[in-house]
Amino acid sequence: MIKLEDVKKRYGENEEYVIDGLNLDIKEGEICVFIGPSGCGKSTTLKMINRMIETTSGEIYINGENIKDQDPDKLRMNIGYVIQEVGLLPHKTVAENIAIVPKLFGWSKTEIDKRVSELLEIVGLDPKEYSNKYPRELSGGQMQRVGVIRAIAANPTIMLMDEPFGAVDPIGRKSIQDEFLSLQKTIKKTICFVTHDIDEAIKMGDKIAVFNEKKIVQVDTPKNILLNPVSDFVKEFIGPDRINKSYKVICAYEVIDYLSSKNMIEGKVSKYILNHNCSVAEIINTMISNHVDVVSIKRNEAIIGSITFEKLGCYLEHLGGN
Amino acid sequence: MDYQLILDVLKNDAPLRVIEHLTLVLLTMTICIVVAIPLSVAFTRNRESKILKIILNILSVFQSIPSFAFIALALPLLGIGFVPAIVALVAQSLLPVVRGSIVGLLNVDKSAIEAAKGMGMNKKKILFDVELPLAMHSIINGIKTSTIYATSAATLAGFIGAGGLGILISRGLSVLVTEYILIGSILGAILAISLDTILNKIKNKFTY
Repeated sequence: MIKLEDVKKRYGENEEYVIDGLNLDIKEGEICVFIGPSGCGKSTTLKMINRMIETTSGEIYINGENIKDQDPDKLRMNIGYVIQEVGLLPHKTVAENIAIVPKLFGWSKTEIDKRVSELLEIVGLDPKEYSNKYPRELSGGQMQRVGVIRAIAANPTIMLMDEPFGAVDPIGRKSIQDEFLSLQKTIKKTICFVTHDIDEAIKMGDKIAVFNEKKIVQVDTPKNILLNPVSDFVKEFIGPDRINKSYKVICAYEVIDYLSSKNMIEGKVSKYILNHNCSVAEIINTMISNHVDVVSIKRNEAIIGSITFEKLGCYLEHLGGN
Repeated sequence: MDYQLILDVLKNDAPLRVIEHLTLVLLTMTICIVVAIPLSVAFTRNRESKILKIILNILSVFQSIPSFAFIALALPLLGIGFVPAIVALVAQSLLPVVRGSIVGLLNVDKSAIEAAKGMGMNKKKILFDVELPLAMHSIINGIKTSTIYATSAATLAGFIGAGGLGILISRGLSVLVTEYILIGSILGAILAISLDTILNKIKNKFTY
């Protein structure tokens, strides 16, 4: 869907490269998180995809088409863009802000009105109450929600999000992340998501690209990034509690698969039954809050095995050994 | 104080002078706005441009010359009448509008411009739909300063035969009749205050 081939960027003939040879392939419907220390070039890379910044060399393809062959304004109309500062236009109402791209596409007024109401409802803002408000009348979280729906107003297939929830307070951030993930289940956009928060990256990403010193040092699933960091830099960047963090991204069936292969699966069925795709963190929570040391895992209503606290410990130890 | 004379002048002479004065001011301001805004837009797009910097410096010099001297200078260069007066007034009133516009345009929230660009608005649309509306508050502030300035400077235009309230004042001065001077200057003040009030009202419409 989005393909970067040996992309380089420098701001002048004799300047040093700020991006030095990126290769990346983002599949349809995937959230790819760009993460790295500041100045690593993650935002620059994002902005090269919609040509807010032009590449110095290398090619970027969207759906097989080279972005250099497209008119930059047309290209951007087809890509949803969300920035940390939100950038709602203060002199336009919420409805007018959301209508910007549909208007550029020349939608009729009735189509636009219908779309605006639909979008406001998706993020839980009453269209009657909020359509005619001005951005200054909204809270930070509401502004960012409007920023997100404005970006998807004209149904782009791709979205670029530059630290979109960075300015929202931690509690608000969690709920806007959850909302966005559940929205993503229905809209299935292909998303590039820049953040410097590793927890956000793990939560949001189907895939994480770790940037350092002008390059991508590792692209992998959150789980593999946590468990198999390719270098000391990645290891250090994700922090000392990477194994703990991985509990949130490892699914119950993976534990079952491992235990089965080692013949350590527990036969007895617990009265606490969890779904096969729930996380290790949830298993531990269930055990602790119910004072039990065994939970059963089901897939499609059939129990596929039980995990005891002790066996879970074996599995986690095996992870730590990696 | 000759009240009969005051009433006479107010009834017969003043209305025409007020209209002339207002014409001078409004025409000056229209020209100022038409020249200043494109100039400011050009300047904010090319901040390194030497020509634009020189123009701005010239305008600063123009404004620092006392109006009376300026109008007196216009006399030998451009002759007497309406046109020389307008030229002199415009040259002197331009700077505040240019300054207000430049400040307004430079202070537009960068994230609004970035978002607009990122959504696919072209440069022209960003200018008219985002930058100018958001800069309007500051632009009108500049227009306000200029208008007040032009209203007072326009009284001097009377001395080079361009009409306006200056006629009443200069007549009062030459025949030493205080009533004329009073009427001319008080009407001028009222005019300035009214224009200021109107512009304030307009400005408040552009507060976001």
